[in-house]
Amino acid sequence: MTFLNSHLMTVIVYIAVISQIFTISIIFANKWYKRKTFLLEKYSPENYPNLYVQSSATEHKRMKFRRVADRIIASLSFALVLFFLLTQTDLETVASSILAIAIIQLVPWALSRYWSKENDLLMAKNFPSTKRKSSFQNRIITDFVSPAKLIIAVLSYGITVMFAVYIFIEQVWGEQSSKALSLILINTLMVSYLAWLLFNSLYGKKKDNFITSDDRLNLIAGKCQEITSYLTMYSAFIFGICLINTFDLSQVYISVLAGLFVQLIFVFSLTKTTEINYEVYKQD
Amino acid sequence: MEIEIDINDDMPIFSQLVNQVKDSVIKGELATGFSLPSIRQLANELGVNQNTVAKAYKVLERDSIIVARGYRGTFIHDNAKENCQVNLKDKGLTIMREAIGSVQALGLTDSEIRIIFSSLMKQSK
Repeated sequence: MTFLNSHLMTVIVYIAVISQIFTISIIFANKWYKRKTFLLEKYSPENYPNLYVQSSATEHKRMKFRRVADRIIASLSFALVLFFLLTQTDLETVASSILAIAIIQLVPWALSRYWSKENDLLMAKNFPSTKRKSSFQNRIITDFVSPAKLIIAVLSYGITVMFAVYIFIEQVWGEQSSKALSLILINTLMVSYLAWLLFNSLYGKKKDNFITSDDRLNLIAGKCQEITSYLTMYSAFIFGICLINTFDLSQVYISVLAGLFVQLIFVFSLTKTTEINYEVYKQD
Repeated sequence: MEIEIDINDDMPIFSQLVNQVKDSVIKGELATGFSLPSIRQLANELGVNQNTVAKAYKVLERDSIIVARGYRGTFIHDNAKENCQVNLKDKGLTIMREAIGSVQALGLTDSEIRIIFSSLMKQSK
Protein backbone atom coordinates (compact mmCIF):
# COMPACT_ATOMS: atom_id res chain seq x y z
CA MET A 1 0.00 0.00 0.00
CA THR A 2 1.22 3.53 -0.61
CA PHE A 3 -0.32 6.63 0.79
CA LEU A 4 1.44 8.88 -1.68
CA ASN A 5 0.78 8.62 -5.41
CA SER A 6 3.46 6.83 -7.43
CA HIS A 7 4.81 9.96 -9.17
CA LEU A 8 5.33 11.76 -5.89
CA MET A 9 6.92 8.63 -4.44
CA THR A 10 9.31 8.41 -7.39
CA VAL A 11 10.35 12.03 -6.91
CA ILE A 12 10.89 11.48 -3.18
CA VAL A 13 13.03 8.38 -3.74
CA TYR A 14 15.23 10.08 -6.32
CA ILE A 15 15.58 13.18 -4.14
CA ALA A 16 16.55 10.94 -1.20
CA VAL A 17 19.25 9.08 -3.11
CA ILE A 18 20.64 12.18 -4.86
CA SER A 19 20.69 14.22 -1.63
CA GLN A 20 22.46 11.33 0.07
CA ILE A 21 25.18 11.29 -2.58
CA PHE A 22 25.55 15.05 -2.27
CA THR A 23 25.52 15.10 1.52
CA ILE A 24 28.01 12.32 2.19
CA SER A 25 30.39 12.33 -0.78
CA ILE A 26 30.36 15.98 -1.79
CA ILE A 27 29.21 18.46 0.88
CA PHE A 28 30.63 16.82 3.98
CA ALA A 29 33.57 15.25 2.17
CA ASN A 30 34.56 18.76 0.97
CA LYS A 31 34.01 20.10 4.46
CA TRP A 32 36.35 17.43 5.84
CA TYR A 33 38.98 18.16 3.21
CA LYS A 34 38.80 21.95 3.76
CA ARG A 35 39.17 21.47 7.52
CA LYS A 36 42.21 19.21 7.11
CA THR A 37 43.80 21.66 4.65
CA PHE A 38 43.11 24.59 6.98
CA LEU A 39 44.69 22.76 9.94
CA LEU A 40 47.75 21.75 7.93
CA GLU A 41 48.26 25.31 6.72
CA LYS A 42 47.57 27.13 9.98
CA TYR A 43 49.24 24.59 12.26
CA SER A 44 52.01 23.25 10.07
CA PRO A 45 54.00 20.15 11.07
CA GLU A 46 57.17 22.27 11.21
CA ASN A 47 55.77 24.59 13.89
CA TYR A 48 53.41 22.15 15.62
CA PRO A 49 55.28 18.85 15.46
CA ASN A 50 53.36 17.29 18.33
CA LEU A 51 50.05 17.62 16.45
CA TYR A 52 51.14 15.21 13.74
CA VAL A 53 52.45 11.70 14.17
CA GLN A 54 52.64 11.06 10.45
CA SER A 55 54.93 12.95 8.08
CA SER A 56 53.55 15.86 6.08
CA ALA A 57 53.89 13.78 2.91
CA THR A 58 51.78 10.96 4.41
CA GLU A 59 49.09 13.40 5.55
CA HIS A 60 48.87 14.95 2.09
CA LYS A 61 48.85 11.55 0.41
CA ARG A 62 45.97 10.37 2.62
CA MET A 63 43.99 13.56 2.00
CA LYS A 64 44.50 13.22 -1.75
CA PHE A 65 43.42 9.57 -1.65
CA ARG A 66 40.29 10.52 0.29
CA ARG A 67 39.41 13.27 -2.12
CA VAL A 68 39.84 11.04 -5.16
CA ALA A 69 37.88 8.19 -3.52
CA ASP A 70 34.98 10.52 -2.60
CA ARG A 71 34.85 11.94 -6.12
CA ILE A 72 34.95 8.54 -7.78
CA ILE A 73 32.20 7.22 -5.50
CA ALA A 74 30.06 10.33 -6.08
CA SER A 75 30.52 10.05 -9.86
CA LEU A 76 29.71 6.36 -9.97
CA SER A 77 26.69 6.87 -7.72
CA PHE A 78 25.34 9.66 -9.93
CA ALA A 79 26.00 7.47 -12.98
CA LEU A 80 23.98 4.69 -11.35
CA VAL A 81 21.09 7.07 -10.59
CA LEU A 82 21.17 8.30 -14.19
CA PHE A 83 21.09 4.69 -15.37
CA PHE A 84 18.05 4.06 -13.18
CA LEU A 85 16.33 7.14 -14.60
CA LEU A 86 17.07 6.33 -18.24
CA THR A 87 16.10 2.68 -17.95
CA GLN A 88 13.01 3.54 -15.84
CA THR A 89 14.09 1.01 -13.23
CA ASP A 90 11.36 -0.03 -10.81
CA LEU A 91 11.14 2.04 -7.66
CA GLU A 92 11.88 -0.85 -5.28
CA THR A 93 15.26 -1.43 -6.94
CA VAL A 94 16.11 2.28 -6.83
CA ALA A 95 15.08 2.50 -3.19
CA SER A 96 17.03 -0.60 -2.20
CA SER A 97 20.15 0.91 -3.79
CA ILE A 98 20.02 3.76 -1.21
CA LEU A 99 21.56 1.63 1.52
CA ALA A 100 24.02 -0.08 -0.81
CA ILE A 101 25.25 3.31 -2.06
CA ALA A 102 25.44 4.60 1.54
CA ILE A 103 27.67 1.68 2.55
CA ILE A 104 30.06 2.37 -0.34
CA GLN A 105 30.03 6.11 0.41
CA LEU A 106 30.99 5.39 4.01
CA VAL A 107 34.14 3.41 3.08
CA PRO A 108 36.42 6.49 2.70
CA TRP A 109 35.02 7.84 5.99
CA ALA A 110 35.76 4.51 7.71
CA LEU A 111 39.29 4.62 6.34
CA SER A 112 39.85 8.16 7.65
CA ARG A 113 38.50 7.05 11.01
CA TYR A 114 40.93 4.12 11.04
CA TRP A 115 43.86 6.43 10.24
CA SER A 116 42.72 8.83 12.95
CA LYS A 117 42.60 6.04 15.55
CA GLU A 118 46.05 4.87 14.46
CA ASN A 119 47.34 8.44 14.92
CA ASP A 120 45.75 8.65 18.38
CA LEU A 121 47.59 5.52 19.49
CA LEU A 122 50.89 6.81 18.11
CA MET A 123 50.36 10.20 19.71
CA ALA A 124 49.73 8.60 23.12
CA LYS A 125 52.89 6.52 22.70
CA ASN A 126 55.04 9.46 21.58
CA PHE A 127 54.12 11.86 24.35
CA PRO A 128 57.54 13.32 25.27
CA SER A 129 57.03 14.12 28.93
CA THR A 130 56.72 11.75 31.88
CA LYS A 131 54.25 14.15 33.52
CA ARG A 132 50.55 13.51 33.37
CA LYS A 133 47.82 16.00 34.20
CA SER A 134 44.18 15.58 34.97
CA SER A 135 41.32 17.77 36.01
CA PHE A 136 40.37 16.62 39.50
CA GLN A 137 36.64 16.88 38.93
CA ASN A 138 34.08 14.13 39.05
CA ARG A 139 32.26 13.84 35.75
CA ILE A 140 28.64 12.80 35.40
CA ILE A 141 26.58 12.77 32.22
CA THR A 142 24.30 15.60 33.37
CA ASP A 143 27.31 17.93 33.49
CA PHE A 144 27.31 17.78 29.69
CA VAL A 145 23.81 16.74 28.58
CA SER A 146 20.58 18.19 29.92
CA PRO A 147 18.37 15.79 31.91
CA ALA A 148 15.53 16.55 29.47
CA LYS A 149 17.57 15.31 26.51
CA LEU A 150 18.52 12.16 28.41
CA ILE A 151 14.90 11.51 29.36
CA ILE A 152 13.85 11.93 25.71
CA ALA A 153 16.51 9.41 24.65
CA VAL A 154 15.37 6.87 27.24
CA LEU A 155 11.69 7.47 26.48
CA SER A 156 12.18 7.10 22.74
CA TYR A 157 13.85 3.72 23.33
CA GLY A 158 11.13 2.66 25.77
CA ILE A 159 8.28 3.69 23.48
CA THR A 160 9.85 1.91 20.51
CA VAL A 161 10.31 -1.30 22.48
CA MET A 162 6.76 -1.14 23.84
CA PHE A 163 5.37 -0.59 20.34
CA ALA A 164 7.36 -3.56 18.99
CA VAL A 165 6.22 -5.76 21.90
CA TYR A 166 2.60 -4.73 21.22
CA ILE A 167 3.05 -5.62 17.54
CA PHE A 168 4.35 -9.06 18.53
CA ILE A 169 1.73 -9.79 21.19
CA GLU A 170 -1.21 -8.60 19.11
CA GLN A 171 0.26 -10.17 15.94
CA VAL A 172 -0.34 -6.88 14.14
CA TRP A 173 1.89 -7.97 11.27
CA GLY A 174 0.31 -11.40 11.03
CA GLU A 175 2.89 -14.12 10.39
CA GLN A 176 5.65 -11.51 10.15
CA SER A 177 5.03 -10.27 13.71
CA SER A 178 8.10 -12.04 15.07
CA LYS A 179 10.17 -9.56 13.02
CA ALA A 180 9.19 -7.01 15.64
CA LEU A 181 11.31 -8.96 18.13
CA SER A 182 14.29 -8.71 15.76
CA LEU A 183 13.76 -4.97 15.64
CA ILE A 184 13.76 -4.85 19.46
CA LEU A 185 17.01 -6.82 19.46
CA ILE A 186 18.64 -4.56 16.85
CA ASN A 187 17.46 -1.45 18.68
CA THR A 188 18.68 -2.74 22.04
CA LEU A 189 22.08 -3.73 20.64
CA MET A 190 22.54 -0.36 19.00
CA VAL A 191 21.36 1.56 22.07
CA SER A 192 23.70 -0.54 24.27
CA TYR A 193 26.59 0.21 21.94
CA LEU A 194 25.81 3.94 21.99
CA ALA A 195 25.49 3.87 25.78
CA TRP A 196 28.91 2.20 25.97
CA LEU A 197 30.32 4.93 23.67
CA LEU A 198 28.80 7.53 25.98
CA PHE A 199 30.37 5.89 29.03
CA ASN A 200 33.70 5.67 27.23
CA SER A 201 33.55 9.35 26.27
CA LEU A 202 33.06 10.27 29.92
CA TYR A 203 35.46 7.86 31.61
CA GLY A 204 37.60 6.31 28.88
CA LYS A 205 41.37 6.54 28.48
CA LYS A 206 42.84 9.91 27.68
CA LYS A 207 44.40 9.61 24.25
CA ASP A 208 45.86 13.08 23.93
CA ASN A 209 48.10 14.17 26.82
CA PHE A 210 48.86 17.55 25.23
CA ILE A 211 45.32 18.90 25.31
CA THR A 212 44.32 21.25 28.14
CA SER A 213 41.75 20.11 30.72
CA ASP A 214 39.23 22.74 29.59
CA ASP A 215 39.49 21.69 25.95
CA ARG A 216 39.17 18.06 26.95
CA LEU A 217 35.96 18.82 28.84
CA ASN A 218 34.61 20.71 25.81
CA LEU A 219 35.37 17.76 23.54
CA ILE A 220 33.74 15.36 26.01
CA ALA A 221 30.66 17.62 26.17
CA GLY A 222 30.39 17.69 22.36
CA LYS A 223 30.75 13.93 22.12
CA CYS A 224 28.17 13.25 24.86
CA GLN A 225 25.60 15.53 23.25
CA GLU A 226 26.19 13.96 19.85
CA ILE A 227 25.80 10.40 21.14
CA THR A 228 22.65 11.28 23.13
CA SER A 229 21.14 12.67 19.91
CA TYR A 230 22.02 9.44 18.11
CA LEU A 231 20.24 7.44 20.84
CA THR A 232 17.01 9.31 20.19
CA MET A 233 17.43 9.31 16.41
CA TYR A 234 18.10 5.60 16.21
CA SER A 235 15.07 4.69 18.31
CA ALA A 236 12.96 7.05 16.18
CA PHE A 237 14.28 5.30 13.06
CA ILE A 238 13.26 1.86 14.38
CA PHE A 239 9.89 3.30 15.42
CA GLY A 240 9.48 4.60 11.88
CA ILE A 241 10.16 1.12 10.46
CA CYS A 242 7.54 -0.33 12.83
CA LEU A 243 5.00 2.28 11.69
CA ILE A 244 5.70 1.64 8.01
CA ASN A 245 5.15 -2.10 8.45
CA THR A 246 2.10 -1.59 10.67
CA PHE A 247 0.34 0.51 8.00
CA ASP A 248 1.48 -2.01 5.38
CA LEU A 249 3.25 0.70 3.42
CA SER A 250 5.70 -0.08 0.65
CA GLN A 251 9.22 -1.10 1.72
CA VAL A 252 10.39 1.84 -0.40
CA TYR A 253 9.56 4.07 2.56
CA ILE A 254 11.99 2.15 4.76
CA SER A 255 14.83 2.66 2.29
CA VAL A 256 14.06 6.38 2.06
CA LEU A 257 13.92 6.59 5.85
CA ALA A 258 17.29 4.81 6.11
CA GLY A 259 18.86 7.23 3.63
CA LEU A 260 17.54 10.25 5.52
CA PHE A 261 18.74 8.76 8.80
CA VAL A 262 22.29 8.35 7.49
CA GLN A 263 22.30 11.95 6.27
CA LEU A 264 21.05 13.19 9.65
CA ILE A 265 23.94 11.38 11.36
CA PHE A 266 26.36 13.32 9.18
CA VAL A 267 24.61 16.61 9.85
CA PHE A 268 24.74 16.03 13.62
CA SER A 269 28.32 14.83 13.77
CA LEU A 270 30.04 17.10 11.28
CA THR A 271 28.25 20.44 11.43
CA LYS A 272 29.84 21.61 14.66
CA THR A 273 33.59 21.75 15.29
CA THR A 274 34.92 22.14 18.81
CA GLU A 275 37.86 24.51 18.70
CA ILE A 276 40.81 23.73 20.93
CA ASN A 277 44.04 25.48 21.86
CA TYR A 278 46.60 24.18 19.38
CA GLU A 279 49.53 25.98 21.02
CA VAL A 280 50.01 22.96 23.29
CA TYR A 281 51.27 21.00 20.28
CA LYS A 282 54.22 23.29 19.66
CA GLN A 283 57.72 22.00 20.24
CA ASP A 284 58.80 22.46 23.88
CA MET B 1 41.83 22.05 40.19
CA GLU B 2 44.40 19.95 38.37
CA ILE B 3 46.37 16.98 39.53
CA GLU B 4 49.81 16.29 38.08
CA ILE B 5 51.95 13.21 38.48
CA ASP B 6 55.37 12.29 37.17
CA ILE B 7 55.60 8.63 36.26
CA ASN B 8 59.39 8.73 36.44
CA ASP B 9 59.56 10.32 39.87
CA ASP B 10 61.19 8.34 42.69
CA MET B 11 58.09 8.92 44.78
CA PRO B 12 55.43 6.28 44.06
CA ILE B 13 52.49 7.58 42.06
CA PHE B 14 49.97 6.83 44.79
CA SER B 15 52.05 8.91 47.24
CA GLN B 16 52.15 11.79 44.74
CA LEU B 17 48.35 11.64 44.53
CA VAL B 18 47.92 11.49 48.30
CA ASN B 19 50.28 14.44 48.89
CA GLN B 20 48.62 16.58 46.22
CA VAL B 21 45.16 15.96 47.59
CA LYS B 22 46.32 16.77 51.13
CA ASP B 23 48.08 19.95 49.94
CA SER B 24 44.94 21.04 48.09
CA VAL B 25 42.80 20.44 51.18
CA ILE B 26 45.18 22.49 53.35
CA LYS B 27 45.20 25.32 50.78
CA GLY B 28 41.40 25.25 50.62
CA GLU B 29 41.28 24.24 46.94
CA LEU B 30 39.30 21.13 47.88
CA ALA B 31 36.48 21.99 50.23
CA THR B 32 34.43 19.72 52.50
CA GLY B 33 31.97 17.67 50.49
CA PHE B 34 33.85 18.04 47.20
CA SER B 35 33.13 15.04 44.97
CA LEU B 36 36.29 13.25 43.87
CA PRO B 37 36.55 11.64 40.43
CA SER B 38 35.99 7.90 40.38
CA ILE B 39 39.00 5.57 40.49
CA ARG B 40 38.40 4.54 36.86
CA GLN B 41 38.08 8.13 35.67
CA LEU B 42 41.23 9.33 37.38
CA ALA B 43 43.25 6.26 36.37
CA ASN B 44 42.24 6.66 32.71
CA GLU B 45 42.95 10.39 32.76
CA LEU B 46 46.42 9.93 34.21
CA GLY B 47 47.17 6.76 32.25
CA VAL B 48 47.95 4.73 35.38
CA ASN B 49 46.69 1.44 36.76
CA GLN B 50 43.37 1.59 38.61
CA ASN B 51 44.99 -0.20 41.56
CA THR B 52 47.40 2.73 41.98
CA VAL B 53 44.55 5.21 42.29
CA ALA B 54 42.62 2.78 44.51
CA LYS B 55 45.64 2.60 46.83
CA ALA B 56 45.83 6.40 47.03
CA TYR B 57 42.13 6.61 47.84
CA LYS B 58 42.53 3.89 50.48
CA VAL B 59 45.34 5.84 52.19
CA LEU B 60 43.31 9.05 52.05
CA GLU B 61 40.32 7.27 53.54
CA ARG B 62 42.45 5.73 56.26
CA ASP B 63 43.73 9.21 57.14
CA SER B 64 40.12 10.52 57.13
CA ILE B 65 40.83 13.00 54.33
CA ILE B 66 38.13 11.49 52.13
CA VAL B 67 35.04 9.43 52.82
CA ALA B 68 33.52 6.86 50.46
CA ARG B 69 29.72 6.84 50.36
CA GLY B 70 29.10 3.78 48.19
CA TYR B 71 27.34 4.44 44.87
CA ARG B 72 27.09 8.16 45.65
CA GLY B 73 30.84 8.52 45.28
CA THR B 74 33.82 9.72 47.29
CA PHE B 75 33.93 13.07 49.00
CA ILE B 76 36.28 15.26 51.01
CA HIS B 77 35.84 14.51 54.70
CA ASP B 78 34.17 17.06 56.98
CA ASN B 79 37.33 17.34 59.09
CA ALA B 80 39.78 16.83 56.24
CA LYS B 81 41.73 20.02 56.92
CA GLU B 82 42.39 19.11 60.58
CA ASN B 83 43.13 15.50 59.67
CA CYS B 84 45.72 16.59 57.11
CA GLN B 85 47.80 17.98 59.98
CA VAL B 86 47.91 14.57 61.64
CA ASN B 87 50.93 12.60 60.56
CA LEU B 88 50.15 8.93 61.14
CA LYS B 89 53.77 7.90 60.69
CA ASP B 90 54.89 10.27 63.44
CA LYS B 91 52.08 9.00 65.66
CA GLY B 92 53.08 5.42 64.97
CA LEU B 93 56.70 6.25 65.77
CA THR B 94 55.76 7.78 69.14
CA ILE B 95 53.65 4.74 70.15
CA MET B 96 56.37 2.29 69.06
CA ARG B 97 59.04 4.28 70.90
CA GLU B 98 57.01 4.15 74.13
CA ALA B 99 56.31 0.42 73.70
CA ILE B 100 59.96 -0.41 73.03
CA GLY B 101 61.01 1.71 76.01
CA SER B 102 58.60 -0.23 78.24
CA VAL B 103 59.80 -3.61 76.97
CA GLN B 104 63.48 -2.63 77.35
CA ALA B 105 62.72 -1.59 80.94
CA LEU B 106 61.71 -5.25 81.58
CA GLY B 107 65.27 -6.29 80.67
CA LEU B 108 64.64 -7.90 77.27
CA THR B 109 67.48 -7.73 74.76
CA ASP B 110 67.20 -6.07 71.31
CA SER B 111 67.10 -9.45 69.48
CA GLU B 112 64.37 -10.73 71.82
CA ILE B 113 62.34 -7.59 71.11
CA ARG B 114 62.85 -8.09 67.34
CA ILE B 115 61.69 -11.74 67.56
CA ILE B 116 58.57 -10.74 69.51
CA PHE B 117 57.84 -7.95 67.00
CA SER B 118 58.23 -10.30 63.96
CA SER B 119 55.98 -12.92 65.51
CA LEU B 120 53.32 -10.31 66.35
CA MET B 121 53.44 -8.97 62.77
CA LYS B 122 52.99 -12.51 61.41
CA GLN B 123 50.05 -13.15 63.74
CA SER B 124 48.32 -9.90 62.80
CA LYS B 125 48.25 -11.05 59.13
